[in-house]
Amino acid sequence: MNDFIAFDKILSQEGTRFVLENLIPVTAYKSVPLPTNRWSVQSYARFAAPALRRPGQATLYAAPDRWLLFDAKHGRLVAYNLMTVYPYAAISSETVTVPQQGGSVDSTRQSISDLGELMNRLVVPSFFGSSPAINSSQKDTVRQMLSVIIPEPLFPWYRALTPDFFEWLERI
Amino acid sequence: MKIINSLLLTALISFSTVFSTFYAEAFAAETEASSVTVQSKGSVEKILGNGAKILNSEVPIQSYVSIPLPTKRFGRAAFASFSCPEHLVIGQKPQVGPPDRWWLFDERAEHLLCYSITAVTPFAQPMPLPGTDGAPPKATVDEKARLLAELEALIDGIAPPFFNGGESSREQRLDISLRLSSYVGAELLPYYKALAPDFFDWLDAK
Repeated sequence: MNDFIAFDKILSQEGTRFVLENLIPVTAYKSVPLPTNRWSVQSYARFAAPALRRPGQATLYAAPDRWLLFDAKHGRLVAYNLMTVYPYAAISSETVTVPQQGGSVDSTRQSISDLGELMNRLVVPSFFGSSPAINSSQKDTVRQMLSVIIPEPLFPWYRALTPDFFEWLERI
Repeated sequence: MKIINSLLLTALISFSTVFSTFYAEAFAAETEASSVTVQSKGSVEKILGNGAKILNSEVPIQSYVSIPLPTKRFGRAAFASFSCPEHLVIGQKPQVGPPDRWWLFDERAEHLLCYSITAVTPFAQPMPLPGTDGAPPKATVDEKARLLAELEALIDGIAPPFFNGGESSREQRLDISLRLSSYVGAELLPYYKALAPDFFDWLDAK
Protein backbone atom coordinates (compact mmCIF):
# COMPACT_ATOMS: atom_id res chain seq x y z
CA MET A 1 0.00 0.00 0.00
CA ASN A 2 1.40 3.42 -0.85
CA ASP A 3 0.29 7.00 -1.30
CA PHE A 4 -0.11 6.78 -5.05
CA ILE A 5 -2.94 5.71 -7.27
CA ALA A 6 -2.65 2.17 -8.56
CA PHE A 7 -0.97 1.81 -11.93
CA ASP A 8 -3.85 -0.21 -13.36
CA LYS A 9 -6.30 2.56 -12.50
CA ILE A 10 -4.28 5.03 -14.51
CA LEU A 11 -3.97 2.49 -17.29
CA SER A 12 -7.71 1.90 -17.39
CA GLN A 13 -8.36 5.64 -17.11
CA GLU A 14 -10.65 5.00 -14.22
CA GLY A 15 -12.28 8.22 -13.10
CA THR A 16 -11.46 10.09 -16.28
CA ARG A 17 -12.88 7.62 -18.74
CA PHE A 18 -15.68 9.90 -19.89
CA VAL A 19 -13.32 12.72 -20.70
CA LEU A 20 -10.76 10.57 -22.44
CA GLU A 21 -13.26 8.62 -24.48
CA ASN A 22 -14.38 11.92 -25.90
CA LEU A 23 -10.88 13.16 -26.57
CA ILE A 24 -8.76 10.31 -27.83
CA PRO A 25 -9.65 8.50 -31.04
CA VAL A 26 -10.46 4.88 -30.33
CA THR A 27 -7.87 3.65 -32.84
CA ALA A 28 -5.02 5.61 -31.28
CA TYR A 29 -2.09 3.99 -29.52
CA LYS A 30 -2.18 5.01 -25.87
CA SER A 31 1.19 4.88 -24.18
CA VAL A 32 1.99 3.07 -20.98
CA PRO A 33 1.67 5.62 -18.16
CA LEU A 34 5.04 6.48 -16.63
CA PRO A 35 5.78 8.56 -13.55
CA THR A 36 7.39 11.95 -13.85
CA ASN A 37 8.33 15.00 -11.84
CA ARG A 38 8.89 17.00 -14.98
CA TRP A 39 5.94 19.24 -14.30
CA SER A 40 5.17 20.75 -10.94
CA VAL A 41 3.03 17.89 -9.66
CA GLN A 42 3.92 14.26 -9.16
CA SER A 43 2.18 12.71 -12.09
CA TYR A 44 1.79 9.92 -14.59
CA ALA A 45 2.31 10.98 -18.20
CA ARG A 46 0.88 9.35 -21.30
CA PHE A 47 0.82 10.20 -24.96
CA ALA A 48 -1.48 9.07 -27.74
CA ALA A 49 -0.41 8.48 -31.31
CA PRO A 50 -2.48 7.72 -34.39
CA ALA A 51 -2.04 4.06 -35.23
CA LEU A 52 -2.98 1.96 -38.21
CA ARG A 53 -3.38 -1.71 -37.38
CA ARG A 54 -4.05 -4.23 -40.11
CA PRO A 55 -4.43 -7.93 -39.49
CA GLY A 56 -1.30 -9.80 -40.46
CA GLN A 57 0.69 -6.67 -41.26
CA ALA A 58 3.05 -4.30 -39.52
CA THR A 59 1.48 -1.57 -37.39
CA LEU A 60 2.08 2.02 -38.42
CA TYR A 61 2.37 4.74 -35.83
CA ALA A 62 2.30 8.44 -36.58
CA ALA A 63 4.06 10.75 -34.15
CA PRO A 64 2.20 11.47 -30.91
CA ASP A 65 -0.53 14.02 -31.46
CA ARG A 66 -1.53 14.60 -27.83
CA TRP A 67 -0.33 13.95 -24.32
CA LEU A 68 -1.84 13.80 -20.87
CA LEU A 69 -0.84 14.10 -17.26
CA PHE A 70 -2.59 12.51 -14.31
CA ASP A 71 -2.04 13.44 -10.71
CA ALA A 72 -0.10 10.48 -9.28
CA LYS A 73 -1.95 10.54 -5.98
CA HIS A 74 -5.56 10.70 -7.10
CA GLY A 75 -5.47 10.02 -10.81
CA ARG A 76 -7.14 13.28 -11.77
CA LEU A 77 -6.45 14.65 -15.20
CA VAL A 78 -4.22 17.68 -14.72
CA ALA A 79 -3.23 18.35 -18.31
CA TYR A 80 -4.34 17.38 -21.79
CA ASN A 81 -2.57 18.97 -24.72
CA LEU A 82 -2.53 18.58 -28.45
CA MET A 83 1.03 18.54 -29.70
CA THR A 84 0.14 21.27 -32.18
CA VAL A 85 -0.73 23.57 -29.30
CA TYR A 86 1.71 22.54 -26.59
CA PRO A 87 4.27 19.89 -27.61
CA TYR A 88 6.05 17.97 -24.86
CA ALA A 89 9.19 17.81 -27.03
CA ALA A 90 10.32 18.30 -30.58
CA ILE A 91 9.27 15.00 -32.11
CA SER A 92 10.01 13.91 -35.65
CA SER A 93 6.88 13.61 -37.73
CA GLU A 94 8.09 10.41 -39.38
CA THR A 95 5.79 7.41 -39.27
CA VAL A 96 7.16 4.47 -37.30
CA THR A 97 6.62 0.91 -38.44
CA VAL A 98 6.48 -1.91 -35.93
CA PRO A 99 6.57 -5.43 -37.36
CA GLN A 100 3.77 -7.77 -36.46
CA GLN A 101 4.27 -9.07 -32.96
CA GLY A 102 3.70 -12.56 -31.71
CA GLY A 103 2.35 -13.51 -28.33
CA SER A 104 -1.05 -14.13 -26.94
CA VAL A 105 -3.51 -11.76 -25.39
CA ASP A 106 -3.17 -13.58 -22.09
CA SER A 107 0.60 -13.25 -22.00
CA THR A 108 0.36 -9.55 -22.81
CA ARG A 109 -2.16 -9.06 -20.04
CA GLN A 110 0.14 -10.91 -17.70
CA SER A 111 3.11 -8.71 -18.65
CA ILE A 112 1.10 -5.56 -18.00
CA SER A 113 -0.18 -6.94 -14.74
CA ASP A 114 3.38 -7.84 -13.65
CA LEU A 115 4.62 -4.39 -14.55
CA GLY A 116 1.73 -2.78 -12.67
CA GLU A 117 2.48 -4.80 -9.58
CA LEU A 118 6.12 -3.75 -9.68
CA MET A 119 5.25 -0.11 -10.36
CA ASN A 120 2.83 0.01 -7.42
CA ARG A 121 5.03 -1.82 -4.96
CA LEU A 122 8.47 -0.46 -5.76
CA VAL A 123 8.99 1.82 -8.70
CA VAL A 124 6.54 4.68 -8.24
CA PRO A 125 7.04 5.17 -4.46
CA SER A 126 10.79 5.00 -4.94
CA PHE A 127 10.82 7.35 -7.93
CA PHE A 128 8.76 9.93 -6.07
CA GLY A 129 10.98 9.57 -3.02
CA SER A 130 8.42 8.25 -0.58
CA SER A 131 10.20 4.91 -0.15
CA PRO A 132 13.85 3.83 -0.30
CA ALA A 133 15.62 3.75 -3.64
CA ILE A 134 15.39 0.48 -5.51
CA ASN A 135 18.60 -1.31 -6.45
CA SER A 136 20.11 -1.69 -9.90
CA SER A 137 18.91 -5.26 -10.22
CA GLN A 138 15.33 -4.16 -9.62
CA LYS A 139 15.78 -1.36 -12.13
CA ASP A 140 17.02 -3.91 -14.65
CA THR A 141 13.84 -5.88 -14.13
CA VAL A 142 11.73 -2.79 -14.75
CA ARG A 143 13.64 -1.99 -17.94
CA GLN A 144 13.15 -5.54 -19.18
CA MET A 145 9.45 -5.43 -18.42
CA LEU A 146 9.04 -2.14 -20.24
CA SER A 147 10.91 -3.51 -23.26
CA VAL A 148 8.45 -6.39 -23.41
CA ILE A 149 5.42 -4.13 -23.36
CA ILE A 150 6.65 -1.14 -25.36
CA PRO A 151 7.64 -1.65 -29.00
CA GLU A 152 11.30 -0.68 -29.29
CA PRO A 153 10.79 1.93 -32.07
CA LEU A 154 8.43 3.86 -29.79
CA PHE A 155 10.91 4.31 -26.95
CA PRO A 156 12.16 7.72 -28.14
CA TRP A 157 8.65 9.10 -27.73
CA TYR A 158 8.51 7.74 -24.18
CA ARG A 159 11.95 9.09 -23.30
CA ALA A 160 11.03 12.52 -24.60
CA LEU A 161 7.91 12.62 -22.44
CA THR A 162 9.40 11.43 -19.15
CA PRO A 163 13.16 11.98 -19.43
CA ASP A 164 13.51 12.20 -15.66
CA PHE A 165 12.03 8.72 -15.21
CA PHE A 166 14.40 7.13 -17.72
CA GLU A 167 17.39 8.96 -16.24
CA TRP A 168 16.40 7.65 -12.83
CA LEU A 169 15.87 4.15 -14.21
CA GLU A 170 19.27 4.11 -15.86
CA ARG A 171 21.12 5.63 -12.90
CA ILE A 172 23.15 2.94 -11.12
CA MET B 1 7.36 -10.43 -28.34
CA LYS B 2 4.26 -9.61 -26.44
CA ILE B 3 3.08 -6.07 -26.54
CA ILE B 4 0.01 -4.07 -25.79
CA ASN B 5 -0.77 -3.87 -29.46
CA SER B 6 -1.36 -7.57 -29.71
CA LEU B 7 -4.38 -7.09 -27.48
CA LEU B 8 -5.84 -4.63 -29.91
CA LEU B 9 -4.69 -6.57 -32.91
CA THR B 10 -6.42 -9.70 -31.67
CA ALA B 11 -9.59 -7.77 -31.07
CA LEU B 12 -9.45 -6.38 -34.57
CA ILE B 13 -8.80 -9.66 -36.36
CA SER B 14 -12.48 -10.37 -36.84
CA PHE B 15 -13.09 -7.10 -38.55
CA SER B 16 -11.64 -8.12 -41.93
CA THR B 17 -10.53 -5.82 -44.66
CA VAL B 18 -13.81 -3.95 -44.91
CA PHE B 19 -12.60 -1.93 -41.98
CA SER B 20 -9.16 -1.33 -43.37
CA THR B 21 -10.57 1.61 -45.23
CA PHE B 22 -12.07 2.89 -42.03
CA TYR B 23 -8.76 2.65 -40.23
CA ALA B 24 -6.93 4.25 -43.11
CA GLU B 25 -9.35 7.13 -43.06
CA ALA B 26 -9.15 7.41 -39.30
CA PHE B 27 -5.37 7.38 -39.51
CA ALA B 28 -5.40 10.06 -42.17
CA ALA B 29 -7.82 12.15 -40.16
CA GLU B 30 -5.79 11.80 -37.00
CA THR B 31 -2.53 12.63 -38.68
CA GLU B 32 -3.95 15.55 -40.56
CA ALA B 33 -2.44 18.77 -39.34
CA SER B 34 -4.90 20.87 -37.45
CA SER B 35 -5.87 23.04 -40.37
CA VAL B 36 -7.32 26.36 -39.44
CA THR B 37 -10.34 27.05 -41.54
CA VAL B 38 -12.19 29.58 -39.58
CA GLN B 39 -15.91 29.05 -39.59
CA SER B 40 -17.07 30.46 -36.35
CA LYS B 41 -20.75 29.79 -35.82
CA GLY B 42 -22.48 30.12 -32.52
CA SER B 43 -19.16 29.18 -30.99
CA VAL B 44 -19.58 30.54 -27.50
CA GLU B 45 -22.82 28.68 -26.93
CA LYS B 46 -21.35 25.51 -28.45
CA ILE B 47 -18.31 25.72 -26.24
CA LEU B 48 -20.40 26.22 -23.17
CA GLY B 49 -22.34 23.11 -24.21
CA ASN B 50 -19.40 20.97 -25.31
CA GLY B 51 -17.30 22.25 -22.46
CA ALA B 52 -19.96 21.29 -19.98
CA LYS B 53 -20.16 17.79 -21.43
CA ILE B 54 -16.46 17.16 -21.54
CA LEU B 55 -15.27 19.11 -18.54
CA ASN B 56 -18.05 18.28 -16.11
CA SER B 57 -15.96 15.56 -14.56
CA GLU B 58 -12.88 17.76 -14.26
CA VAL B 59 -14.08 21.22 -13.25
CA PRO B 60 -15.39 21.31 -9.69
CA ILE B 61 -19.05 22.22 -9.37
CA GLN B 62 -18.25 25.18 -7.15
CA SER B 63 -16.34 27.02 -9.82
CA TYR B 64 -16.68 30.26 -11.66
CA VAL B 65 -16.42 29.36 -15.36
CA SER B 66 -15.38 32.14 -17.69
CA ILE B 67 -16.96 33.17 -20.94
CA PRO B 68 -14.93 31.63 -23.80
CA LEU B 69 -12.97 34.31 -25.62
CA PRO B 70 -11.31 34.08 -29.02
CA THR B 71 -7.53 34.13 -29.10
CA LYS B 72 -4.67 33.36 -31.46
CA ARG B 73 -1.95 33.47 -28.86
CA PHE B 74 -1.45 29.70 -28.88
CA GLY B 75 -0.55 29.55 -32.55
CA ARG B 76 -4.00 28.98 -33.94
CA ALA B 77 -7.52 30.30 -33.78
CA ALA B 78 -9.14 29.08 -30.59
CA PHE B 79 -11.53 29.90 -27.80
CA ALA B 80 -10.02 30.06 -24.32
CA SER B 81 -11.72 29.66 -20.96
CA PHE B 82 -10.64 29.44 -17.35
CA SER B 83 -12.28 28.53 -14.11
CA CYS B 84 -11.75 29.67 -10.56
CA PRO B 85 -12.74 28.10 -7.27
CA GLU B 86 -15.83 29.87 -6.03
CA HIS B 87 -17.30 30.05 -2.56
CA LEU B 88 -20.95 30.93 -2.48
CA VAL B 89 -22.71 32.06 0.67
CA ILE B 90 -26.32 33.11 0.45
CA GLY B 91 -26.69 36.83 0.85
CA GLN B 92 -23.01 37.52 0.39
CA LYS B 93 -20.85 38.40 -2.55
CA PRO B 94 -19.32 35.23 -4.05
CA GLN B 95 -15.69 34.71 -3.13
CA VAL B 96 -13.65 33.81 -6.19
CA GLY B 97 -10.08 32.59 -6.04
CA PRO B 98 -7.49 32.92 -8.81
CA PRO B 99 -7.91 30.65 -11.84
CA ASP B 100 -6.98 27.04 -11.10
CA ARG B 101 -7.48 25.60 -14.60
CA TRP B 102 -7.95 26.67 -18.17
CA TRP B 103 -8.71 25.14 -21.53
CA LEU B 104 -8.88 25.81 -25.24
CA PHE B 105 -11.40 24.76 -27.84
CA ASP B 106 -10.77 24.97 -31.55
CA GLU B 107 -12.33 27.80 -33.51
CA ARG B 108 -15.24 25.59 -34.51
CA ALA B 109 -15.99 24.93 -30.86
CA GLU B 110 -15.84 21.20 -31.44
CA HIS B 111 -12.52 19.90 -30.16
CA LEU B 112 -10.72 20.40 -26.91
CA LEU B 113 -7.14 21.39 -27.74
CA CYS B 114 -5.74 21.85 -24.31
CA TYR B 115 -6.80 21.54 -20.69
CA SER B 116 -4.53 22.18 -17.77
CA ILE B 117 -4.53 23.08 -14.15
CA THR B 118 -2.66 26.34 -13.75
CA ALA B 119 -0.21 24.73 -11.31
CA VAL B 120 1.08 22.62 -14.20
CA THR B 121 0.78 25.06 -17.08
CA PRO B 122 -0.10 28.61 -16.06
CA PHE B 123 -1.65 30.74 -18.78
CA ALA B 124 0.07 33.80 -17.34
CA GLN B 125 3.21 34.21 -15.31
CA PRO B 126 2.77 35.74 -12.88
CA MET B 127 -0.96 35.36 -12.62
CA PRO B 128 -2.38 38.89 -12.34
CA LEU B 129 -3.94 40.01 -9.12
CA PRO B 130 -7.71 40.38 -9.10
CA GLY B 131 -8.96 43.79 -10.10
CA THR B 132 -9.86 46.41 -7.58
CA ASP B 133 -13.10 45.45 -6.06
CA GLY B 134 -15.51 47.88 -7.59
CA ALA B 135 -19.23 47.46 -7.32
CA PRO B 136 -20.07 44.02 -8.70
CA PRO B 137 -22.37 44.01 -11.70
CA LYS B 138 -25.87 44.05 -10.28
CA ALA B 139 -28.56 42.24 -12.20
CA THR B 140 -31.26 39.68 -11.70
CA VAL B 141 -30.72 36.15 -12.96
CA ASP B 142 -32.93 36.88 -15.96
CA GLU B 143 -31.06 40.08 -16.73
CA LYS B 144 -27.72 38.29 -16.45
CA ALA B 145 -28.94 35.56 -18.78
CA ARG B 146 -30.07 38.15 -21.31
CA LEU B 147 -26.81 40.07 -21.06
CA LEU B 148 -24.83 36.87 -21.47
CA ALA B 149 -26.86 35.83 -24.52
CA GLU B 150 -26.27 39.24 -26.08
CA LEU B 151 -22.58 39.06 -25.31
CA GLU B 152 -22.30 35.55 -26.75
CA ALA B 153 -23.94 36.70 -29.96
CA LEU B 154 -21.61 39.68 -30.20
CA ILE B 155 -18.50 37.57 -29.60
CA ASP B 156 -19.69 35.03 -32.16
CA GLY B 157 -20.09 37.85 -34.63
CA ILE B 158 -16.73 39.42 -33.94
CA ALA B 159 -14.70 36.19 -33.77
CA PRO B 160 -14.41 35.59 -37.55
CA PRO B 161 -12.95 39.06 -38.31
CA PHE B 162 -10.67 38.70 -35.29
CA PHE B 163 -9.42 35.30 -36.47
CA ASN B 164 -9.22 36.18 -40.14
CA GLY B 165 -8.14 39.77 -39.93
CA GLY B 166 -11.41 40.86 -41.47
CA GLU B 167 -13.05 44.22 -41.13
CA SER B 168 -14.89 45.37 -38.06
CA SER B 169 -15.83 48.83 -36.96
CA ARG B 170 -14.14 50.58 -34.10
CA GLU B 171 -17.56 51.27 -32.57
CA GLN B 172 -18.51 47.60 -32.67
CA ARG B 173 -15.26 46.51 -31.01
CA LEU B 174 -15.52 49.19 -28.36
CA ASP B 175 -19.12 48.23 -27.65
CA ILE B 176 -18.08 44.61 -27.07
CA SER B 177 -15.14 45.64 -24.92
CA LEU B 178 -17.39 47.75 -22.70
CA ARG B 179 -20.11 45.12 -22.44
CA LEU B 180 -17.57 42.43 -21.68
CA SER B 181 -15.87 44.47 -18.98
CA SER B 182 -19.19 45.37 -17.46
CA TYR B 183 -20.53 41.81 -17.50
CA VAL B 184 -17.35 40.22 -16.17
CA GLY B 185 -16.70 42.83 -13.51
CA ALA B 186 -13.52 44.59 -12.44
CA GLU B 187 -12.40 41.81 -10.11
CA LEU B 188 -12.15 39.10 -12.76
CA LEU B 189 -11.29 41.19 -15.80
CA PRO B 190 -7.49 40.90 -15.27
CA TYR B 191 -7.76 37.11 -15.63
CA TYR B 192 -9.65 37.43 -18.89
CA LYS B 193 -7.09 39.90 -20.20
CA ALA B 194 -4.24 37.61 -19.17
CA LEU B 195 -5.79 34.65 -20.98
CA ALA B 196 -6.72 36.37 -24.23
CA PRO B 197 -4.57 39.53 -24.33
CA ASP B 198 -4.55 39.63 -28.12
CA PHE B 199 -8.34 39.75 -28.24
CA PHE B 200 -8.53 42.66 -25.82
CA ASP B 201 -5.73 44.48 -27.67
CA TRP B 202 -7.67 44.02 -30.88
CA LEU B 203 -10.93 45.18 -29.33
CA ASP B 204 -9.31 48.29 -27.92
CA ALA B 205 -7.16 49.10 -30.96
CA LYS B 206 -7.88 52.41 -32.68
